[in-house]
Amino acid sequence: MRRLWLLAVLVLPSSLSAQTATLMLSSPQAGQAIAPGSIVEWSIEVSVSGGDNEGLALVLVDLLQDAANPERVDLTPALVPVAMTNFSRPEGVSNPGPGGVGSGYGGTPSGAVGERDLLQIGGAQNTFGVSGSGMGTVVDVTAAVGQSGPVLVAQGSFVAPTAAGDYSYHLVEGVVNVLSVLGTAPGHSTAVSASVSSSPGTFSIEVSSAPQFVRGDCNVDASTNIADSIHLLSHLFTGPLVLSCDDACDTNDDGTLDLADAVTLLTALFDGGGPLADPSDTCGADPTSDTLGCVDFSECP
Amino acid sequence: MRFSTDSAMTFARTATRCLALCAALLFSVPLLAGIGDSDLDGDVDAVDFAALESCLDGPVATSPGCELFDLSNNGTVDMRDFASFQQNFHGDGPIPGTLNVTWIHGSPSCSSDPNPPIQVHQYNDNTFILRQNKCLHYEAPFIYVLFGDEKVFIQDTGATSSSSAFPIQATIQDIIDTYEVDHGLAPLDVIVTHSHSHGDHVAGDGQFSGEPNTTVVGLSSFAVRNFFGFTSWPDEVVTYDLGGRVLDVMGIPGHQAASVAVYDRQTDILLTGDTLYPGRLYINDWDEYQDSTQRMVDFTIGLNIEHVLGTHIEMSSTPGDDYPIGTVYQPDEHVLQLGIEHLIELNDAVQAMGASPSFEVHDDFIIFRL
Repeated sequence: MRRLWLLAVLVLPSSLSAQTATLMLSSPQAGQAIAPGSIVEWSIEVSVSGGDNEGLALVLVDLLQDAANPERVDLTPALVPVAMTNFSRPEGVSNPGPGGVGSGYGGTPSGAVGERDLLQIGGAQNTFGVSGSGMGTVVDVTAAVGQSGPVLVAQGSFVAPTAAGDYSYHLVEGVVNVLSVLGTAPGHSTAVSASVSSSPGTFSIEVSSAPQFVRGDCNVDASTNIADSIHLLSHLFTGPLVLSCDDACDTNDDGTLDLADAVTLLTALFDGGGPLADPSDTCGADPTSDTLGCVDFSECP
Repeated sequence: MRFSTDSAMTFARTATRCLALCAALLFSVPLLAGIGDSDLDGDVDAVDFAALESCLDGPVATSPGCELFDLSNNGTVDMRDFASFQQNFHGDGPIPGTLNVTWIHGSPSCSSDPNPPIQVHQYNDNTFILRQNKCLHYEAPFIYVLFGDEKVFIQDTGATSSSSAFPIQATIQDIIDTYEVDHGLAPLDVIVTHSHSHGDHVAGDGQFSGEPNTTVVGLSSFAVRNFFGFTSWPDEVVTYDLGGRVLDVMGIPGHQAASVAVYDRQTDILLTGDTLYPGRLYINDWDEYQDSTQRMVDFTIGLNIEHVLGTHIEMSSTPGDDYPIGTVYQPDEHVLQLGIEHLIELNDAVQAMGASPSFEVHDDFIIFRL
């Protein structure tokens, strides 16, 4: 009986079909082993469906620490990206900041001191065509936000926990309104709820107490260049040069120091070789188990 | 809005709001609870935005006097409540919709008509207009489906009873199911009403009887009065709240004893049934019809009327020209929508006729005393 619906013709304005939005959480430290107390950066982006709406009107989401995390830290409020200024007080509409002052667009810390999550990161455009007294002072709605690719909604960082272990951080309770009818002030625009998914809505890190280093920076001078190869070759063949961080010189991450490491680094530097094994861009612990160590790498925490 | 501030003005506004709320509760003024209508004037507009601004404290305990804005009922007035408020904001004007639609208007050969029995047009997010195919029944009545947060209001069920030939219940149920999913709503109460009780508007009632969460309003004027709560029929305008969407309902006997007009405050659409539409306006009781058109005109004074929508189209696009009774093909038919000027024109005409009703052709309708 229900399939008899097929016998009916549904005439829908294109702007009224189901709208969707995707929230994305990312971190350059995602999947890496990092040192206790190092900085973890994160960002949230949003994209909305095209063709069935006029762009983003409101975005809200919580950033929470996983209940299984070995240790909680304070997640500090995010910065407001320039493109989202009209979603944040005073131009846009957002929660008030701490103590009722300023903008809470970057999220409201929630929980005990030292282990706070961030609630309701984000805000809204003023779609009402009239200005508020202390918020929503920009009455001209910006159309098509989020429709030509992901838009950076928020960007923040926090200090990594000190206890070693695996940690995860999640986006939850995402809410997105999109513009269904675009008005011109003093007329109002109409906003409707979008179906929200988070993908990815999680990132994970490993806090490791193992020594941190940058692979390839064999001479520990905060740069990776030919001098590092010379430093390693000197150690191998002219001695007695003592290396302060064997792991940094093990450029092919095979657990031994030999001529192949110098060749690997030279190839990476000058002959189009691929990137060195992690950690090669930022400080990190050796993800593979071997007998090499790292006594001192002063460039990393 | 906080009592803790020292502003006497703030206190006065808060007290006024509290009094308004108490009055609404005591005297059953329709309260648009859950949508942010802080001044209880039937809309969510700039005044409510200004009131919300002083209450938006974020995810902390709600300030006293601000409970009306706690739309999620979780003890805070924060951006999650604002998200609902923004969706509910309608401003001072109506929620727009589109009538840019070509209605299926029958076929020169109904035996090979490729069109479906029911056409569904979405006027806006929560308003649907359906039309029965003229090949199925020459009356080709229009059917209205209006969604609130708690109820879906259906006006009329068509001219054919057979669910296989004319699956009106299944068609509307699919619309409802989709709407509930898209809006995250629990199952809505389905209210089946009628513009009046003639057979070409109630034939599908049986398809709704016994369906879950469904009420089919009776056909007699007594049943209509009882359902909507009229105490003084037809000299009274009563309200019917769908949940964040208030309808004004008035009795307009004349075409038929149980005729009602419905004004939707959200879209500013006036539904007039067979009392006014682009076609032959058959009048059974002249005195009552005169009174009804006058009451409708009086009701609309000071209101915006976006569209006057009836339940048939019988006129062609040529002024004063109608299709013959029983026609099943209207390739050049009049648009469905009329305006307030047509209601005024009708009322002026029937009042001018006094006690001597006559057949009178107007550009967009025909007065037809039976």
